[in-house]
Amino acid sequence: MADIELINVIKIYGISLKKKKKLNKDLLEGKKAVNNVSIKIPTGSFTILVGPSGCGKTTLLRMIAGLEEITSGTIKIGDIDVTNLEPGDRGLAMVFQNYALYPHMTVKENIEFGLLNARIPKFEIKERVSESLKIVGLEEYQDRKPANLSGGQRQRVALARAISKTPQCFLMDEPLSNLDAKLRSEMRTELIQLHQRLASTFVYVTHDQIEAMTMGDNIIVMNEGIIKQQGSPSEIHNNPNCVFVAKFIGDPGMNIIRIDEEYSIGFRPRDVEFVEENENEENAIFVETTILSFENHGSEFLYLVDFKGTTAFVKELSKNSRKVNTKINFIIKKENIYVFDSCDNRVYDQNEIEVAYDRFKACWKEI
Amino acid sequence: MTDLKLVGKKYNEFCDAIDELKLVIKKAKSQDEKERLKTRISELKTELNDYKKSLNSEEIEAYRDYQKIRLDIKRCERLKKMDKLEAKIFKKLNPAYIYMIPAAFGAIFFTILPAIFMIIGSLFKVDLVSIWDSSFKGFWNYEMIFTRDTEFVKAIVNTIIFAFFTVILLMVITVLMATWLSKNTKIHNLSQTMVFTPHIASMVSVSILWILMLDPKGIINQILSIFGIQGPNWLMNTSTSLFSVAFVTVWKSIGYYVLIIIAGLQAIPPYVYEAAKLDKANSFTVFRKITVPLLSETLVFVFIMKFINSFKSFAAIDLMTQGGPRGSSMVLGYWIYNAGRVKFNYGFAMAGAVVLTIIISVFTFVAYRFFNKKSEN
Amino acid sequence: MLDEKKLSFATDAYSAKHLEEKNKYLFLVKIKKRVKYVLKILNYLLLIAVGLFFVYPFVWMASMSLRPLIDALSFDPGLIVKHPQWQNYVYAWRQAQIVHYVGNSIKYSVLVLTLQYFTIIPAAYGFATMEFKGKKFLWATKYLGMMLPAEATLIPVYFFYSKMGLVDTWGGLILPSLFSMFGIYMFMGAFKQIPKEVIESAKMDKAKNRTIMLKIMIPMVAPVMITHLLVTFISNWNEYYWVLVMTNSESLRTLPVALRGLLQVEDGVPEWNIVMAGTMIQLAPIMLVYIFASKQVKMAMVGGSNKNKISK
Repeated sequence: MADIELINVIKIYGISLKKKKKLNKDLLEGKKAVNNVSIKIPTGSFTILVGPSGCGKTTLLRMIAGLEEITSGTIKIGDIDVTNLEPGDRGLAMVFQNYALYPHMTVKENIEFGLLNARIPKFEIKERVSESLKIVGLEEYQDRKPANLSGGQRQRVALARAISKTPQCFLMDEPLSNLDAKLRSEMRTELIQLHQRLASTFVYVTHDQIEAMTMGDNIIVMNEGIIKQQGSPSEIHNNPNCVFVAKFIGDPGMNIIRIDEEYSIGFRPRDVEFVEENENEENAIFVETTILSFENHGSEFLYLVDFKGTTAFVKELSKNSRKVNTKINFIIKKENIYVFDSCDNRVYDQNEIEVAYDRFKACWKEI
Repeated sequence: MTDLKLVGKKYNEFCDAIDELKLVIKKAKSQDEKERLKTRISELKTELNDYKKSLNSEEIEAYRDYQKIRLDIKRCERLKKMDKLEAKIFKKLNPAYIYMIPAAFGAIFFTILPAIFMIIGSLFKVDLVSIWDSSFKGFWNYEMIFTRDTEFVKAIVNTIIFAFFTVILLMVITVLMATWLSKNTKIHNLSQTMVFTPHIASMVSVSILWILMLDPKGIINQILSIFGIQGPNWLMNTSTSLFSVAFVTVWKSIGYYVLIIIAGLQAIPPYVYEAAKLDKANSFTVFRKITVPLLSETLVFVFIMKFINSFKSFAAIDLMTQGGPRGSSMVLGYWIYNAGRVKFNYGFAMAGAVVLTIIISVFTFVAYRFFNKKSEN
Repeated sequence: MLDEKKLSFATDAYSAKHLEEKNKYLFLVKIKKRVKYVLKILNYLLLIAVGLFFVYPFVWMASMSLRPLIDALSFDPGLIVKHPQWQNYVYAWRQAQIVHYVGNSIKYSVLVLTLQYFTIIPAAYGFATMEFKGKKFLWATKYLGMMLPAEATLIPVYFFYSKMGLVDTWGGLILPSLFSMFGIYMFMGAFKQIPKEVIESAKMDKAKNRTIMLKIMIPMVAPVMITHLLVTFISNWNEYYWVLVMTNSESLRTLPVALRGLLQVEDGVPEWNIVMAGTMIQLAPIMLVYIFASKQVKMAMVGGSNKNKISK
């Protein structure tokens, strides 16, 4: 078991490590799909790479797998530098978005293929196949072809194929995105259980922040080829270090209100208290505004409200909806307010927070 | 059950011991020591054999299983070693080169070398017996074929006429026929199948067939005589021979191009037509404003290919007219064959080949420019 | 809010028409239907007639092959033969030595069909999946080779052949088919259609290049293989030019070239009935395939030609 470590990894498409001559120039000019990333993925973690599409998360995963050449940098698994190793020699298994099963082989043959290539003796292959099929619960299907399986079953076969290799680490590239909503949530729990059972590292790529929050114990948020924040789900949710993470995580993300050149403040839609009228509470801001539209989420309602020229979302746990174009009043408590600077980074300095809060409050009083 | 495991354990112990000794032998220095170790191995082997004999039938089965597993593991280890060696080799040498050997050989032997040889050879008076005695003549070959060989210039003109005639005739006929035949009923399909038949028949059989049909007493002239027309001897008449051959090649390939155009037509998504219907377009407007523009890319490309290919028609000419009468149906491809393979004048033939290549290149270039412009729009 | 901005123009082109004169309208529809029906039948008859224009000559050829020589020379367009002369075929088979040429044709086709894949598939695999120096150059050369007509390179290639002793040998005869750009193109296109993930997952499974090619890709493009087999069988069985120019003796010549020999008689007219019998023998295998699998043959031939579009 070993940690996966990426050190100063850069990826520019169309440029490979081998052409060293041009490299320096290209490093400055090229568009970097992955830009100088250094991370450590601890052993046994369920690490989620999350970010909007095109942020470089899949590229990063594929670089770990060895399917994508890296332009510069080093990838280590444990103490071994795997940067130039073939994909098959890295001790990893990958589960692809569209399963990538071999359509002309039966389930059994699909699993056997990698084991035969790894020159594992036949009696052991037999054991491994039956064992891994048992784990995913597909023993009866071993002689079927993938075409005769449902989407969920195919995904399980892909999982079994990965499990059979007993890899140090499982790489998963949006494995659930081709399944329908119900099956997806089922598979989610199964994957979590599988992770506990196998006790090996999972690196999981998704664009769905809900999936990230529910499954992972170590989340890496990426945008435009850069790692924005790494941490546990609650850390990422409660303590975002920049506007991007704050906005991206949560359903919907944080409301960000620019107050002046210097600061913007943010608050989560859930972190408001609905009141009838201004009670002039200490350390809280009273907001009086109108509802522009709403979404019914069953047990809660999400309102889009006018927020001094911009808009903001607020969430109310209630069974009865308010009407569009009616007044709505709520307060935002000081401890629920996040402050960001002009570069969209989080402000931690208490004094600065104080300043920003006062300015924000002043803004509201004026109206 | 424990008994059986014991069998395995014992068997593996024996084998391990033997393998270890074998390793020692390799390292051993003196001959004596080697001999001693060898006897020890054979001792162990007999011991193992004895042990095997002492087993009962159930145990023997287990013994065999263990043997199988051990051999399997050994085999896998061997393979792993080979894989490692292979990986080492392919780290240095890109395996792609091995995959490309045949393709590269084909490209060199059938394209690059012939092209070079052709260009150089066309400047020599080639000596057939000993190639090194060939004499350099500059552009003499070209001069000769353009000025002295009466059939050569005729061949160039004929080749171009032939190409234009076949392509234009084919284009008009096939576009009309394809729009008519493009429908998925049984009758339409049957008709398509019948029209396609000549395409898969050999050029030889089609040529032979049409030699008969175009005979002075043949079916074509019999039909014409019903209308009171005295048909000519199509293939033996200087003014009709080229067009007769062109007609036969067109007849043979109509089905092919009809099917290609139909495939193109059916690739136009039906919702386009449905939208046109909702927009109240009549069928002529649909054909003019939707079918033709959407099909034009296919059409242009297909017929450019056909145009270039018709420079290469050989079999039909060879079988039906052999370039005659008096060179009236001589085309470049056949002229080169005649000069080189029949008259054995290699210099002339290669000069002719260079001219043919130039003509094809020019037309291809123009056609591609035209095509690319079209597709850009 | 949108209601206020409702679009309105002078004429109302797309609303349903009021059918005031319903009966008259229905009558018109009825007449229209009948006319259409008659036209449909006429159209069908015409379709069949046009189809016959392409098939009749072959049927006529069959009838010619069964006539006695004197009847054959009359070029009677009728198709029915009163006393079929089956011995024409026997004569062609034995005296005209068609049996020998049929053997050669089969040998030629089988050799090409089996051996071509050893060279075409690796090349297609390389072009489709691998990166190497000179790839573009090789590709361009192969492309050029397709443009450069065999007629132009005939003399140099014949010269090489004669120097290397390849004229009049089976090796020389089948050699160019082994490097056919058509096949490389076709398989390359098929290989490129295989989802990238499948190949990547094979790579994760420690598969080597040849394992990917043999165990993953070839089984996945099996339908293309069948198509290619069909097309190459037809084209090789019909091959004329190459066999004619690269052989000097009769020992290797195939059926199409042999038919040319039947046509060229010293004096007088060829024995048309025998020529026709020979031609029928040449046509028979392909026509049989076509009758039983016309759909597949059509798809194979037309689909195969779209190779050029793949590269575009």
